[in-house]
Amino acid sequence: MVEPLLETRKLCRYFGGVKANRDIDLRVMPGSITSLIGPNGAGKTTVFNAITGIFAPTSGEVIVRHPRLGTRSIGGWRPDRICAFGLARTFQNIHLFADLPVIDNVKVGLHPRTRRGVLSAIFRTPGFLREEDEIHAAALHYLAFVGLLEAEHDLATNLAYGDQRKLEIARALATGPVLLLLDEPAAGMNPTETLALMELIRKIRDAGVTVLLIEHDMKLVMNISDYVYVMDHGELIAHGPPVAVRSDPRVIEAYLGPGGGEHGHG
Amino acid sequence: MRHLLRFFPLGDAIAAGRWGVVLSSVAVVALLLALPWLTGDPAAPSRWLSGCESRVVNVTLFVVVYAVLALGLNIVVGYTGLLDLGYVTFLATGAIVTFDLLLLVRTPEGLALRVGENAGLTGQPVFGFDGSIFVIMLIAGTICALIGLLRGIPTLKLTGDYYAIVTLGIAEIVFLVYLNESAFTGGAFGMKLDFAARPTLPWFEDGQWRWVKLYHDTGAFYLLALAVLGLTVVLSDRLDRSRIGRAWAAIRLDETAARACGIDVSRYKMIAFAVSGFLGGVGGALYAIWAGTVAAKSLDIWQSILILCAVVLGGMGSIRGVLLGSAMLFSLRELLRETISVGGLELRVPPEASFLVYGLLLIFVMRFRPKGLFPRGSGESVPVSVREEKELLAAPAHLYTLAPAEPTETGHG
Repeated sequence: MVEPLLETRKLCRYFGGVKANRDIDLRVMPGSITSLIGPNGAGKTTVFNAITGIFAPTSGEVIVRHPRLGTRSIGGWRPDRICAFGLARTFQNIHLFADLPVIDNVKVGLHPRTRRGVLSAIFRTPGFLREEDEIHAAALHYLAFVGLLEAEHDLATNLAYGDQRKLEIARALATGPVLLLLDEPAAGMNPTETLALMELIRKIRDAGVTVLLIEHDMKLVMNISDYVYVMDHGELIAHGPPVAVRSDPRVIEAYLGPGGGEHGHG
Repeated sequence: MRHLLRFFPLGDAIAAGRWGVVLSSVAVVALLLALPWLTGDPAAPSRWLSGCESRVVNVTLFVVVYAVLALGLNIVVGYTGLLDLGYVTFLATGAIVTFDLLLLVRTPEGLALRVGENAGLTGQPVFGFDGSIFVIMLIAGTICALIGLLRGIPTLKLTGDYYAIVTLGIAEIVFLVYLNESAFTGGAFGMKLDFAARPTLPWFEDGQWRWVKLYHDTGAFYLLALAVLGLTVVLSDRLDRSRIGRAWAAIRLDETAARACGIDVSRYKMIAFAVSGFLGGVGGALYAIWAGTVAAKSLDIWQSILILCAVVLGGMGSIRGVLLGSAMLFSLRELLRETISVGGLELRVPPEASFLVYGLLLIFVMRFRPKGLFPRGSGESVPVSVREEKELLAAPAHLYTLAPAEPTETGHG
């Protein structure tokens, strides 16, 4: 039996009296695209933040089975350590390095996989220059992968909205993740851009990176997900393959209100 | 071949074909080296050496010393994006350490000294060290780097105004300690370097190399100060355009995103504090020799503010900007000390009023050029030509872990 790559056990996150997450049990299988959906304010981003260490879980466990680095309980680790362990993320409100060129944004992403320090930088040792070349080449490859090679020299802030999302994905991929957490990557995209994004997410999965996705766009979620978790009011209310979740009365109620199912939904 | 070129200063600019940068850098260095000759006395046995005693060179030295300090502050303010209001701590520590070391090895009383008491006495070398300026700068820099790290512990989690206020507070504490610990600092009277206690430097004199005593108005000190500034520029530039510099930029622009990219923010802030402190200590040592006296009283908050002004005026994070800002601000400071005689009237700006002029200057710059006179460029950390880029793309990429879904897509030009 294949064990999940990421598993949360009774993950809770409270803010004072507000129970943003209660007993969240997620299982993300390796090689899958798993989605986390739910109405606004359901606590999806809080789950992401607790997994990636932006803040520590109040209680519960986060377990990652890294194929090369082994199994670790990462709950409470610092975000940079979690990233270096192979969990990369993007943000709902884009967090790019706005004043840096596109390529340097990706180069920052390569940070956890490179080593050279102060002295080799000052003396420009052969090792330093070799590593800089490798960083440059890898950054170009990641840009090509998301289709931003042409925009290499532009400032990140001057990119179109959809391209900024792509750049954030390229930067996250550059950290060398086994699991990529995407927080509403299609927000603010037009249907054509969303379609291209869907292709990109599939391409990432096919390249061997497992994807955990928060998304509002139902068409996107139902089309590409292997498995879907549904949250409402800080709790998981349903999970299963997209077809099963789509017809689950609790999910319909959460999205459309009581009785909403009578009118059907898309 | 490309790596060999990039090993040398300006190699990056040459490789990228940025000839404007190359030519202007060479021109500035040539001008600085020729300056004593230009201002020297044509009748003197050595025109260049006589020029080192001129007022112009003396003011230039003042600018050079403060430019080293401004570049040091720029590491934290310009690269890492933290507003440091306590940089004078490093200047004061570097200067005081320099004097203490010299008094220790060159006067029998050691550190328990007051102004004037050490006249004409020579001390004993310690471990063969008898006042070499290189060793002094290294020790002063190292001590200041350690202070930078120590100061980093309580300020590590602070950003923005909070960081500024805490650094200001720590600088005030250090200021008061130095003012009162007169055994080490000379207290309110300060310390003075006389003939016997001068540091030494190898210098070619009378047809041979020998260790000579270093004075502020000698060719040796002028060249030393220029060399230190040159090395500081190279060091700043290389750190800025490296993995370290990109980590600093990431912290400056978005700390959350920096963490999400696997950057240990605390570690890279500490590196910035240490490097910045080191340069402050070296600058402080140069300042001590240039000034000849160090009074803890005069190394107060205004020194921090002035150095910060030079950084902001020129452009935070821009080496050219910081150099230009230092040149403007500190030469202006010396100019304002001049007395002008107009028709029998002695015109002079009171020292306190000179700050009015800096304030006005800063207001104008902020109004018309809010990012500084010479703002930080938005170029890539490592400019690579199109041809080199093709080669890099064709070579096996060890750091690229994704197998491209369609190999044809990466064959880009």
